[in-house]
Order: sequence, then C-alpha cells, then structure tokens
Amino acid sequence: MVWMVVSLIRLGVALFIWLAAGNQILGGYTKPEIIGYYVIILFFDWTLMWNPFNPIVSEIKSGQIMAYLLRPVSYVRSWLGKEAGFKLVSLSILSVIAIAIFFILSWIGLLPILHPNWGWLALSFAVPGAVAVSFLITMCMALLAFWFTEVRYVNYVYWTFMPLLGGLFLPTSFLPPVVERINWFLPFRYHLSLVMEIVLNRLNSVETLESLGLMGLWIAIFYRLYKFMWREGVKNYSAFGQ
Amino acid sequence: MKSLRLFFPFVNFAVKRELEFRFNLMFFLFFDLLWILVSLLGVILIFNQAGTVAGWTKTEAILLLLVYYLSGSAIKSFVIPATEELSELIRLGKLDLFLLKPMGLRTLVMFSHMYLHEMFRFTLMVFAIPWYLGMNHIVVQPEQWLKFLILIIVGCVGFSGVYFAVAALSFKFQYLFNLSDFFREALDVAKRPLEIFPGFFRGIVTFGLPVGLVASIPARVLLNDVNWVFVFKSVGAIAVTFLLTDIFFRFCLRSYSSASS
Repeated sequence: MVWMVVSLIRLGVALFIWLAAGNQILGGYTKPEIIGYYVIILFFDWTLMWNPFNPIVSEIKSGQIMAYLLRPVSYVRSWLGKEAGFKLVSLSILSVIAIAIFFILSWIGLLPILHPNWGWLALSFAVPGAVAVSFLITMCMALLAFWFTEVRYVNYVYWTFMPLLGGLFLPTSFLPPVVERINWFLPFRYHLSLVMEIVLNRLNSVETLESLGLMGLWIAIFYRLYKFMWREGVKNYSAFGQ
Repeated sequence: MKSLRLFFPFVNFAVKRELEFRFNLMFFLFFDLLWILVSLLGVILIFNQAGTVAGWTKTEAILLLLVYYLSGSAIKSFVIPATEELSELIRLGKLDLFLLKPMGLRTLVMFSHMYLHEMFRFTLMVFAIPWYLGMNHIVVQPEQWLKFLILIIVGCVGFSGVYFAVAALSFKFQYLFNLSDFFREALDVAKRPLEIFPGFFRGIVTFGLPVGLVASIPARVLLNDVNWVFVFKSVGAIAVTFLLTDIFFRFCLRSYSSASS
C-alpha cells in the first residue's frame, strides 16, 4: 500500500511538472502523450520490475537460504513465484486506481493518448522480456552477497542510472542523441523503456526487431551470469548454526 | 540545553561509527556525488525540452536542486533514520530503554540514530550554493540569507514533526512496512518548484507534507526575496503544524506497551 502511495505521488508530481512546462512538444511528445507516458509507466513500473534484492541479500547473509539449499526446491523459482503472487495482488488493487485515474484525467480533459495499433506481437515478447531482464539483473546483483558482506551499493549504483536510462524518470528520447544511441546497447533500456516505446508506437518494425534482439541478448548474458554465480556462490557458501 | 550538551557525544559516536568501515564510507561518498550529478543531468534534460516549468528557468531549477540537497541531507541524516528506527523500536518493544532516559524521546532517538555520511552532501552544498549564485551573477543580500536560514530550519523542523507523527502510527499498527520509501518519496517532492502545484495541492505540499519550505520557498528567497511577513507567517504555520503533530505523537505514545524487553 505504501509503495502504491509512493507511485501515485511520483505520478502526480510528474503530471504537474509537464502540465506546467512552457513548451508544448517535449522530447518528441505532445503534452497529452507525455501524460499518457507517465500514467502507463506507473503500471509497468509495478508489473515489470521484479526486484527482490534486499530479501535475497538478507537471506544469504543471515543463512536462511540454507532452508532452500537443503530441500528439493529451486531457490530462484521460489522467488519467481513470490514475486508473481505479489505482483498479481498489487495489480488487482492497481486496477481500481487505474480506473480512478482514467476518469479523473478524462474529467479534466487530459485523457492519455493510447495508440490502438499497439504492436501486440512485439509486446508479447517485450513484456516477459522486461520481467526477465529486471529479475535476472537483480539476482546477479543479489548473489554477490555470497562473496561480499556489503552489496547494497551495487544496487545503489544500478539505481542511480536506471531511472534516467531506463525511462522511469524521463522518456529516453529526452537524452542527447549520442547517449540515447549508446543506451540502446545497455541493459537499462530493456527494463521499461522498450515496452513504453512499443506501446506509444515510437519504433518502426526494424527498430522493434533490433531492440527485441538486443533484449534477448541481455537476457541470455544475465541468465548465463546468474547460473555461473549461483553455481560458484553455493560452492563457496557456508552458514553455521541454522 | 541538556539536549545540546548531549548532542556532541552522540556526534562523536556517529563519526566513529561511520569511520569504522572507511572503504564503505568512501564508496558511498563517491556514488553520492555521482547521484547528485545524475540528478543535475535530469534537471538539465527536463529544462532543455520544457524551456521553463511554472515560470522557473533552468538556472533557477538547478539552484532549487542544490537547496534541496542542503536541507534534504540534514533531514536524511537526522530525521528519516530516526523515524525508521522508531517504528522498529516500537515493533520490537525496545522503546522502553529510550522512554526511561531523562531526555525527550524523539530527540534521543534522533541523536542515537544519526547518519552523518549524508552530511557530506550538506557540506558540499554549503559551498556549492554561494558558488553557483556567484557564477550566475545573482546577488544575495545578508537579509535574504537570514530569511533563507530561518525558512530552511523551519522547513526541517516542520518535516520532522510530521514524519515523527506518521512514524507514531506504529504505536497503533505495530509495524508500518516501507515507511521509509514513503518518507523519501515525499521529501523528493521538494526538488520540484512549488508553483507546479495548483492552489489546493500547493497548500498540502507546503504545510501538510510539508516540503515546500524544505527547498522551493528558500530557493525563491535567494532568487527574488520575500517579505518578513511571509517568513513570520510560515514560522507560525509550521509552529501550529508542529504543535498538532506533537499532540498526536503523545496521544499515540500512550498506546505503547511491551513485555520482557
């Protein structure tokens, strides 16, 4: 509930900022489009960001992870299940808020512009891909706790860049062209920005395919890294008195 | 006076605690600097596209961000860790130890849980704000500085009052999960010009949350100055807010009970 209030505060502030903007076209978006961007990203932020970093680090540091290691259950799948359950419950609450926001925006004449010709096929790959990128990166960062006692700074560093380069804070089209192009090859874009670009019809078919390919590449890289880190980490790990 | 006397031994302890893990501290300070630069970049990107926001130019918005980091870092050093800890102490029944001490509960929790690494940002801003004003040829009179200082202190005091009151809900609900996320997000609102909010919301943001006095209004004082009547009105409004939150805190405290701690 607190996280939802936090998301709503974030959304409200973003809307007020852009409504107060002097220019009418912002980073290639009209004002209603940019408002639509922030309304939609609120939902994707909630549904696509699977980040159980702190609890995993805590379980490794405290030795509670032993309960999983000694039983015939997959640790990663158990966390996938927990996150899926959490997202499902929060999504049902969020749906109510979504309807309320929709009515408020239409009442004040700021109905977000949603393109009916969404690239559904591309989205059907991009949405689970974004979840995979988010979850695998989080796992890789959290598994560092097998070797180091203090890992929260890795997460801190990641989240320093993520809002700006991942499209959470601003659409990535606001970035200077060179940085935006470099960002295509970085994993940040594949958290949220790619999904948003597809939803708002900002990519042509070649760019969509190229982006999905790069997303797949990052998933493969982080999956291999996660497997490697898990194998070596468990080998290296010891916990006492559990 | 007693609180002030005790402040320094607590600071001494906090410094030693920070220096215990020096590499950790250095790492934090480096990435904290990076975080400030990324935030500045964010403001520049917004204003490159938007031109102005609610009448604020890019130069003014950067000053607002610097002022936010000045007061925000003080709040993040003293208030937020203490409010988080208060919730935890209540849940675990460890508050007894604090209640039995001959000192104000909130002051004691604040002193014993201050995180001074945030003060790096504060110190940086103490130098960065005058430098930035000078660089942009903005002349600030001593009287403006005085008003700025008063409003910053009032803003921080008001914020602490409200957030201790929110944390006091833990007396009723045992444990408020992720309260810190809420506090930090609410504080982040202070980074934005107050003028973006329409009338009703502006009142809420200024005196309800209350973050308007944390950065936006003090930054406005440096840029355009405000009259003393406004300063006194702000002091009065925050005093009322603080009084009400204090009553609420004491009311909630009455529900506290613990056993075997």
